[in-house]
Amino acid sequence: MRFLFSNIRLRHLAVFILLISSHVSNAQNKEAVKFLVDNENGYFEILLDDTLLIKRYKDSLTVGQHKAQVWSYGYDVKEVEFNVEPGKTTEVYVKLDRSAAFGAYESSYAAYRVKFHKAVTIPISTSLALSLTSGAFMINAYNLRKTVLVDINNYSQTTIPDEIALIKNRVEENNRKYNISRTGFYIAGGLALAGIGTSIYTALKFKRSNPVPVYSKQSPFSDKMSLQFTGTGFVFQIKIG
Amino acid sequence: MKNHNLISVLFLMILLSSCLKKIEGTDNLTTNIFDVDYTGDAWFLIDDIYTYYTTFGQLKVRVEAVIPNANMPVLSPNLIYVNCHVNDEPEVIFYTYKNTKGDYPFYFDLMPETTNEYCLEAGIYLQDQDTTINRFTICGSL
Repeated sequence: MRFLFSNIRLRHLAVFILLISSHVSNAQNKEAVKFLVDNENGYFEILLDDTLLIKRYKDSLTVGQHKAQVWSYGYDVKEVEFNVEPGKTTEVYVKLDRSAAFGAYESSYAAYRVKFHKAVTIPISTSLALSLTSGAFMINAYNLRKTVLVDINNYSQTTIPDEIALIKNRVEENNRKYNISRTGFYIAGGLALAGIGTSIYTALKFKRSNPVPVYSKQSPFSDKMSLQFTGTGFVFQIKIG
Repeated sequence: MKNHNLISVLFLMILLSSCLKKIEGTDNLTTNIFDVDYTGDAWFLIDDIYTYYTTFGQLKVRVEAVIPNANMPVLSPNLIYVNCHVNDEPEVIFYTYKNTKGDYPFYFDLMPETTNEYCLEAGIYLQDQDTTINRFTICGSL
């Protein structure tokens, strides 16, 4: 039997040796057990017989009665008992129930998001839209200004009365559009500036008075020893003190 | 950092505001003498008024005028048509060439009047439209 110890974190080597020896002594009476954990996030931790923490759906356990506590992020710990029979794969179905704390967290986070959108997203989006509008007015005004100046220059050059009349009409029309565009630029630009100021103010105010709701992902089994299989071996972890 | 950004935006806005000011001169497009709405001063000058004898010994008065190059559009033509007359003489259409200075000289001959005052009325003649625009009258004495 060959083990590949690729990543072992031990604080007390003695405990590890005791555990290995315990597993070796019972190796011949083991049967496969499959845990079918019903939850939404796909992650779970199983504490077997108050001793060993596993994070996989399949394991080999000694024949006989066992107890497991199953937990996942956002769910209450569920305790199940099952019997491992010789010569048979045991399937343990566990449906996890959402924890009340997680429900409260979800509600408070949803309320936080609504407040966030009102205080940050909407002002910033409005400011952005006004800035883009202002920019569009500005580009249009610049183009029209250029056209008008070119036409004014052309007016003083030509000697053809019909062309003069056309130039004057163009100047009048483009100058009218130019004035509309620059007025639009000033209004939209002013509103954009006001919007940026408001956005900064509301964002800072929101940040000060609305801390982000947090939900602890801390496992209730974090103080237990665990066994995790990786692609190159396994990790055995134990925390003492 | 945020304050610096805000100041930059404000500075940019002020800079752009100065570039997008009102365009001057759009209401004053009446300075081209070929514009039917020309509102400037007389576009020609009386250069000289004098008497002379023709080859047939006849006494005549010549009113010499000039269109200064400064009063012409930038792309000035080689010749322009002028419709003019002096006092009660009938109108005559002249064409005048640009001289080396860029001016357009023209003159009007007539018999001496009892008074010494000679008033030259001239306008720009538009061949295509067979019409005369921007008439002005300038008087002078011998």
